[in-house]
Amino acid sequence: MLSHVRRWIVAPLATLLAASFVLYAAVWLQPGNPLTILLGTKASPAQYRYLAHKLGLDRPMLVRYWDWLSNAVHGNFGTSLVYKQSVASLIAPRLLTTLLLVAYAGVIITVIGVTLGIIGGMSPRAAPYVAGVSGLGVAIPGFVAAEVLIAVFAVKLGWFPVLGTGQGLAGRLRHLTLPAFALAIASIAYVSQITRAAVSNEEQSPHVETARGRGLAGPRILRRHVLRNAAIPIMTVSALTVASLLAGAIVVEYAFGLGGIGSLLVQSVSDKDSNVVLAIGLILVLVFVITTTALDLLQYLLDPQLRLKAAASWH
Amino acid sequence: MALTARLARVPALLRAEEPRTKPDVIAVVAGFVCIALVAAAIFAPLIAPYQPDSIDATAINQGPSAAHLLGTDSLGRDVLTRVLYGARLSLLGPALVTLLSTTLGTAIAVAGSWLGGTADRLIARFLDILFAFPSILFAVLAVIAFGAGLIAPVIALSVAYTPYIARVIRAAAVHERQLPYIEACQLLGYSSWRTAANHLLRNLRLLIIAQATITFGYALLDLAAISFIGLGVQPPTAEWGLMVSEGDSALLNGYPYESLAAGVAIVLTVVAFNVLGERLAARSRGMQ
Repeated sequence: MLSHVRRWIVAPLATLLAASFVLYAAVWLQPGNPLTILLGTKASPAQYRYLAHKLGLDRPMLVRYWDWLSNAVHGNFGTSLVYKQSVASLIAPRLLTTLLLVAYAGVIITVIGVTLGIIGGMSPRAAPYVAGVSGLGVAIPGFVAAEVLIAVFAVKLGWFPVLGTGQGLAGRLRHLTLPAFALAIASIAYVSQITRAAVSNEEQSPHVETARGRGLAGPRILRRHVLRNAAIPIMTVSALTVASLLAGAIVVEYAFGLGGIGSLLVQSVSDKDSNVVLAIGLILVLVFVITTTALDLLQYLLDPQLRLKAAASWH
Repeated sequence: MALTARLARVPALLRAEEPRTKPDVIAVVAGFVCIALVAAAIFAPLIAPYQPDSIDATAINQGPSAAHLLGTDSLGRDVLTRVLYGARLSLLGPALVTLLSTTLGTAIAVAGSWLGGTADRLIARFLDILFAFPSILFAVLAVIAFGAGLIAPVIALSVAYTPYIARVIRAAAVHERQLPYIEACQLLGYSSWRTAANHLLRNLRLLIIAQATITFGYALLDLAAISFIGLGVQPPTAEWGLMVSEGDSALLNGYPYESLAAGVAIVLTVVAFNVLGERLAARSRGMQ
């Protein structure tokens, strides 16, 4: 019991704490002081001191870090130096857009990726084609996919709008279709690769041979005997991929000019808007740690073998 | 891209490959493509038909023609020339990332597996912290700290990729350590350093090379993405990720040539290095 608490509660929290410190230190290590940006180069030393004191920048970094973290835990990420409004209110609507984009892409990835993988794993004739297409697909980065989709479906065919976020849910989804596919392509390919490998592994296993020998129907074998065992690696990879989409969204949102947290992060980096960068960075890290922890727990619950050999490896 | 999530997460599944006896045509082709790309980068000044920054106001946004095989960009610069010159930084960056992260990752992995116990666990904890960062976030943080350009993202990605390499190499190193030849070395009185460097690493070399090759492809994707969002190499330098982004406005007007040419260069390079890396990885598993 104690080791469980350590593995799924203490260890992730410790990772998160350390990661948040790395994040804070990296942002405040910058040579270009945020005060210079606010005041320009002509301000007097007294003005610097006053503003530094007002913003609390004259205190030791560890103290500032602790303040920032305890405020962040309560949802208070401070004020944006550029937009002069609270970071939380700046991020909230953009986070919704990003989550919608990631969810849309996540659905596309699991549906198409798993289907392609099952086809490739079940039929030896289709396998090389699925392998070839997914081998090519994993190498297509989101921003190249974005430009190609814009060139074909927005400029040439005019089926989808090029830029913007859209009104209402239907309008939003329409505006998010091309970004979601751009974000999804490489991951579809990857999920289908893993699914194909997992399914064809199971297809050749003795228990599936036995089921076939007993004369069970194909779909039943697939559902009850193949997919049930192949589900764990497929689920692992799908979940990790979807978690990594949040980072992928940074580039895709930029390419489509979507107002999500990804494009806000890029803008804030250029503006040196530290509080915004910190908040978005913390969200990215948080999502990643939560997903990997939840996944680890789920695997452990689903796969009894893991419970036996838990101590054998780093993970 | 956080494509790092893909490096080495589920290696056990892709293990089905059998050792090959006849020559592997696809791997040979991929190898030739890789060599050709590196050669194109090195000899760009000799092959390229124009200067990479020679602006021609009379030839703006042209499609492919005899004078400009891949067309021209919005400043009238020859796209083929810029793709060739762009190969230099586009390949140099990932090469540096691969070199740094493979060296660091291998060193950490071998040290961990060799020392075992508390040291191994501390290393694992430390790497867990690094795992929590998507690689592109690392790069963004480095850009804030050190400014946009090639250097900051290269250093950041080297750190970001280290845990993925360390995890794979460590698993293999733990396995190798139990083999009789290590014990033989110790009985012969060789120092740990000599045993690890001369014998253990030599047996892991194919796996290390395979990991490095796969890492190269992902590093290229990440670095190109960073240039694309404007935080990497700055204009007017020719670089593939930057070219995709610079071709953006012409693309909206129906001239996709610059973006497409640079995009195809990226995809082709990554496919070639990935295929080569996966084949090498399959062979290294066959050897074990």
